[in-house]
Order: sequence, then structure tokens, then C-alpha cells
Amino acid sequence: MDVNGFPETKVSAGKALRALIRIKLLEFISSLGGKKKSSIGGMIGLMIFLALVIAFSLGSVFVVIAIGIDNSGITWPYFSLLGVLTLLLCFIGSVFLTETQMFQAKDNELLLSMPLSPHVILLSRLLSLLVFDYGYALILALPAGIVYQIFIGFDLPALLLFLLSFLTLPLMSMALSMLIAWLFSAISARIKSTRLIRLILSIGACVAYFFFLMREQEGLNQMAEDPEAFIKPLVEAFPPLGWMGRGIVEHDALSFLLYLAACILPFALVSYAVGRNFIHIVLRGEGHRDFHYKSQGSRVTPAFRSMVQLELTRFLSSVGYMINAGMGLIMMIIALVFALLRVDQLQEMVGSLQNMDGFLPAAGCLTILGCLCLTTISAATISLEAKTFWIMRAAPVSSRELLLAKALPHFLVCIPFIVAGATMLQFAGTMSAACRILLYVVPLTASAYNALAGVQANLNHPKFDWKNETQAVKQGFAPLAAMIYNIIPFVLTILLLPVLLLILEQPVSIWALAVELLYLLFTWLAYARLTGKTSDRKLVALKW
Amino acid sequence: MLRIEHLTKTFGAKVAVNDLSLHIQSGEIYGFIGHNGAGKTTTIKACCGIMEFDAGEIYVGGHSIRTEANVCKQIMAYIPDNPDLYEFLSGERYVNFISDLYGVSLEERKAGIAKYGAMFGLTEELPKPIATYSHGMKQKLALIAALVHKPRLIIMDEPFVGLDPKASFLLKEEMREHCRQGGAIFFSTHVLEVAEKLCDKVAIIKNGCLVSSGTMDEVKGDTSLEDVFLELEG
Repeated sequence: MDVNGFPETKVSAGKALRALIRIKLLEFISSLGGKKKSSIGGMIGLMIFLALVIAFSLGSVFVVIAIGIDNSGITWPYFSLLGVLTLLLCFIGSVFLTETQMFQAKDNELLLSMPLSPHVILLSRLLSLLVFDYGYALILALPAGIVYQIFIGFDLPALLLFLLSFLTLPLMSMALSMLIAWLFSAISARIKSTRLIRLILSIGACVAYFFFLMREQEGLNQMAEDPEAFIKPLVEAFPPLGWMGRGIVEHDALSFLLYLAACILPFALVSYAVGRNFIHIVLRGEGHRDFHYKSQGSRVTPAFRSMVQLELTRFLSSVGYMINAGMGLIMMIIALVFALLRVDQLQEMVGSLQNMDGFLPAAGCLTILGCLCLTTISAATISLEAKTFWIMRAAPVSSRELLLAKALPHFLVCIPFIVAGATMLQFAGTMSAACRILLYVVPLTASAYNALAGVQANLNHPKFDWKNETQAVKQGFAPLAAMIYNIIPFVLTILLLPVLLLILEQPVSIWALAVELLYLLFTWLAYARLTGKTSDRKLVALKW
Repeated sequence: MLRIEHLTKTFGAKVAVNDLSLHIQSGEIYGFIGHNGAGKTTTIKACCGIMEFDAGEIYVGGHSIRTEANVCKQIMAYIPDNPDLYEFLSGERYVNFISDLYGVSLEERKAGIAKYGAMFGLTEELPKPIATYSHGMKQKLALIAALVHKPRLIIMDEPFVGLDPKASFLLKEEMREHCRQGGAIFFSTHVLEVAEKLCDKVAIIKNGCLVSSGTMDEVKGDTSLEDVFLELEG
């Protein structure tokens, strides 16, 4: 106690750190499934299941590499490749998370007002982010390690060095993530919106990821034939990967020490620099910026159109929403561009099959429909209202108008992608004029159905307790439910293909017409359901 | 203007509002006071048609909020205690959006934005994104958006929280002017001095039940509203 009787307690850095980590852990658990133990357990179980599925599928890739490498007799590139994949996965998985969790966390200002060192706050953020990175690293290291042990075999020093590399690789990725996040924070303080930069970077990462997947088989063959030649350009561009591989396999102490230094030193330096500047970075937030904004003036717009514009603005103002809910559209364009580049090969392949005239445009149309199934823009529109829902609910707007205004933007966003995709399909071979038109009309109808089904899914499974938009867009049950609703007519569409083309020997235009009628039926049902009394009652009963 | 008849709302086993009846007439500023969790916000939300209720009826301008919700909503405005607004819009665009929903003409909205923007000192800030606004600025923006469409009935939940003294004074003046022109205001508050000076009538709610209501003189008599409130709250 001081002379005035106020307590003079001082919390140690260790205790403060433990308390901050505990809070982060509780926040993570609550984000999994609210307060119900059963739903938290279910979500953890699902995550473990998904991690195992990914690990097993990666294991099959590592088996191919391990066999090739074992035959060649040069095994160190195996670990260099593992290093590349781990760094990429950790970086892509945590770069934007680092920015939001470290520099834009809502409790930063509160914590900085407390008697806590900025280094302790930063360390608590770092440790929670590193947990994610170690999770990503484990998904790769576990199957890679098991496969290596089975096909090639570790000796004890190699095993210890492998485990040490698993512990240190995420540090390198974290250093890079922190630097990029710092850079973004600095850019954000200088320009009005970093939305475009983030969007380009995110789409670039998606394109790179899909390009990597498409080249996977080719790469695997090269890796199996000549691993050293395959890994050489990567190692020349980034030597620590070579040091890591050689260090583990050849027990080369100097190489491994160089690798360790390359992981630990940048991490330590960046952490120190960020720690020194933490207060400055955090307090350079949006509220401190003073940009000049021009008045846009007033304009009268009909109520329904105004609501549609609001939803479009909401979608276009959030990169996380655009990327996560619009992933299907990006995939559609990438897949169709890739197919168009190889159209000769595809035509040759299809030409060798009997009774498959028009299969290529049908397959292209199915690709578009499949990608549209993964597009869930409308499936988050109700969840995203959350605490702002009072605005719409207090306004003189009918449930029907409100729900349709949430569906329409989904459809509008899909139109340019569908037109681009269907135009590419016009080059997929000879077909009738009716078929050419249906290649546009069918995906547009499917998109209308998906838009309505998405809002219905969100009405059935709203998630209002999100902390950032991505949770509502990605982690709620509604997007999954919307995909299931979308897949039902899509599966019927696939089943119709062999029936009409092979069994009944009908031209592809008949198949397209049947699919159009099917989607029209589903769209009508979805429209009737969404604008009916049941949906109105559900909307009125929502608690946000 | 607003008639609440035997309103009852339960959350599971908890009765939030129990058989509450009130009548707010045109030209009246009606204060609604009670302790935290007494049922004020629940009553207000039910009146605005954004929360269902179990029993009773609410009429706005003679129309039932249950069966003619949009007719009722067209003539009233609601301002919540914590105005969460669309942060991805600018203040200006938000007011225009609300004006679109209420069908406000271009001339009226321009005049309204100019008048209330200047009144609350927010004109310069209107083109900025709402994400950059402070709590008080959001509160002012919600007030501007509510006033621009000239509602006959204004329902407010703790309207003075977060407002600076000048804005509070101007809001009180605007409330009086609104009622002079034949409108009505129903608002909840914890600031008993404000209620005492501003309200024509007042209702005190405790644990969901109405314990006292009437004109200010009828409720407080010769003592202060604070004394009456503390006595009723026990």
C-alpha cells in the first residue's frame, strides 16, 4: 500500500503473459462453437479429421517423392522440398492473421493502457500465432516424416535434426509474416484503402496455389527422375533450404547451423524491431488518419435498389468476404483458362471416345456449375448484419424485399464471371446455336438458384456472434449448408449427362435444355420458399 | 400516437415485460425510466417491431405493429442505445440509404442533411467512412438519419449517452420542437434530471411491471423524480 492506501501490486511479466495466453485460448475455444461443450468437441473432432485427411493425401504425394529419391540415391532434396512447402503453407495461412491479431486486435489499446510491457503483449500475440503455424507445419511434417522413415529411414541424428527443423521453420515464416503485416500497417496509415492491394495479393496467392496443383503431377515426375536438378533452382534462390536438407541427411553441422541462424536471427531481429515499435504501429490506427474525403452528394434511389447497392458495397469493401465467398468464381476462371490453353489436347482425348460429341462443352458447363456451387456470397448476408440488423428491421421494408435484396447481389456478381466462362466455352468445339445460348443461360439460372438458396441457408443457420467478418463468411454453418443446397441439383445435372448422351444418344443441346428446366424448377422452389410465410416468420424471430 | 396494451414478453422462464400498458399522445415527450434490466429496451424494441412479444398489442398511429408493421415503421424512427451502423459506408451515404428506405425526396433530404448536419456539427465529417467515427459521432449520425425522414413518432433508447453537452442541449431543443409540431417522443433514460426537466409524462418500470405513470406532477408530486424513483425501486 502507498501512503494514500492504494495498493502497490506489480504483476510479473510471466504472470501477465500466462493470463494473456489464457484469454487468447478462451477466445479460440469460444470461436469454435460457443459455450456448448458438445459443439466445441464436435468442431475439434472435425478439425482433427480434416487435418488427417489432408495429411493422408499429402502422404501419398510424399510416397511418390520418397520412392523417386530413394532410387536416385540423393535424399537431401526431400527435406528441402518439405521446407518450401512448410514455409509457403505457414506464410499463406498466417500473413493476414498476423496483421489482424497482432496490430489490429481490438484489445490492443486496452492492454497498452495497463501496466504491461509492449513486449509481453507482442509475445502473447506471437505465441498464439505460432501455434497456428506449428499446426500447419505438423500437417506436412507428420506424413513426410512417417513416409521417409518407411521408405528411406532416419538415423538418430537425422531424426533429431528433422525435429529441430520442424520447430524452427515456422519462425522463419513468422518473421516474414510480421514484416509483411508491418508493411501493410504502414501502407494503411498512408492511403485511404489497401483493399485493392490485398485483393490482388490474395488472388495472386490463389492463382499460384492452383498453378502449383495443376503442375503437381509434372513436378512429381521431375522430382522422381532427378531430385537434385528439380530442387536446384529453389536452393539457389533460397540457400537455407539446401542447408536444411544437407544438414539433416548428411549430418553437416555447419550447414544445419547456417540454416538455424537463417531461421532464428531474422525472427529475433524482426520481433525486437516490432516490439520496439509496437505502440507506434498499433496507435497508428484508422481513427488517427486524416484523409480528405469528397462529398458524393445526395441521390434518390428506389428502396430495393438501394438495399441491393448496400449489399454490393458490403461485399466489395471486404477482401476476406470477396475471397472466401467468391472462391468458386476465381477457380472457374483459372480452370477455364487452363482448359482453353490445352483445348487441342482435350479435343484429341475426347475425339478418341465413341458417342461423345459435344462432351467438351458439357464438361465445361459442368465445371462452371461446379464452381458456382462453391460460391457462397449470399450465404453470409444475414450473419454479416449482426448488430446492425436493427437498421433494416426498424425500417419499413418487407421481409420479402429484404431477403431478395440479399440474394440479388450474389447473382449480379456472378454474371460477368459466367459470361466470361461461357464465352470461353464457345471455343470448345462445334455445337448448335441453341447449345451456345444454353451455355450462357444454364449457369445464369443456376446462379439465381444458388443466390436464393444461400440466403435461405443463412436464414436457417445465422451466426451473429462473430468478431471479424471472415468468421461469418467462412466459419458459420450457413456457407456449408448453402454448398449442400447447391450440390443437390448439380449432382442431378451430372447424372443426366450419361443418361442423355450415352444411353439415349441425344445431342448435348438436349442435355443443356434438360439441365435448364431442372434449374428453373429448383429456382422457382427456392424463390417460393424464401418469399413465403415461413421465411418471414423466421426472419422476424431472429435474435441478433 | 403510441398505444401499448397489456404488453407481455418472456425470455424462457424470465418475464421481461409483464402486462404493461401506456399511451403516448401527439405532442408529448414521454420518459421511460427503470433500473438496468427492468425491461425498458425490450418494451422499446417491441414498439419498433424489431422484437416479437407474447401477449398484448401495440398500436402506432392506430395501426397494429403486429399486422401492419411497415405502415407503423413508416411513421416512426428508432434510435438504439448503441448505434451500430454500417462501417463500410460514409456518413453521407448512410443518411441517403435511410432516406431511400423511407422514400424521402431529394429536396427534403438535402435540406435535412444540411440542417441536422450543421446542428450536430457533423457536416464536415459526413463524407468520411463511419468506421472512423467516434461513439458520439455515430450517435449523432443515427439522430440525423432518424430526423431526416420526418417521423411523427420518435422512439429512443438512452439517447443522451455518448453525446457532448452541446449536442445533448440541441437534441433536447429538437425534441421539444418536434412535439410542438404535433409529433410524439418516447424515450428511455437513466438521467433523472433530464427526464424531470424535459418530459411531459413519465413511466417507471420495475422488474418488467409498470409501477407508476402519468404527468410529471402526478408521478413526483412535491418531491423530486429521483426521490420517487429511489422509493419505488426500494
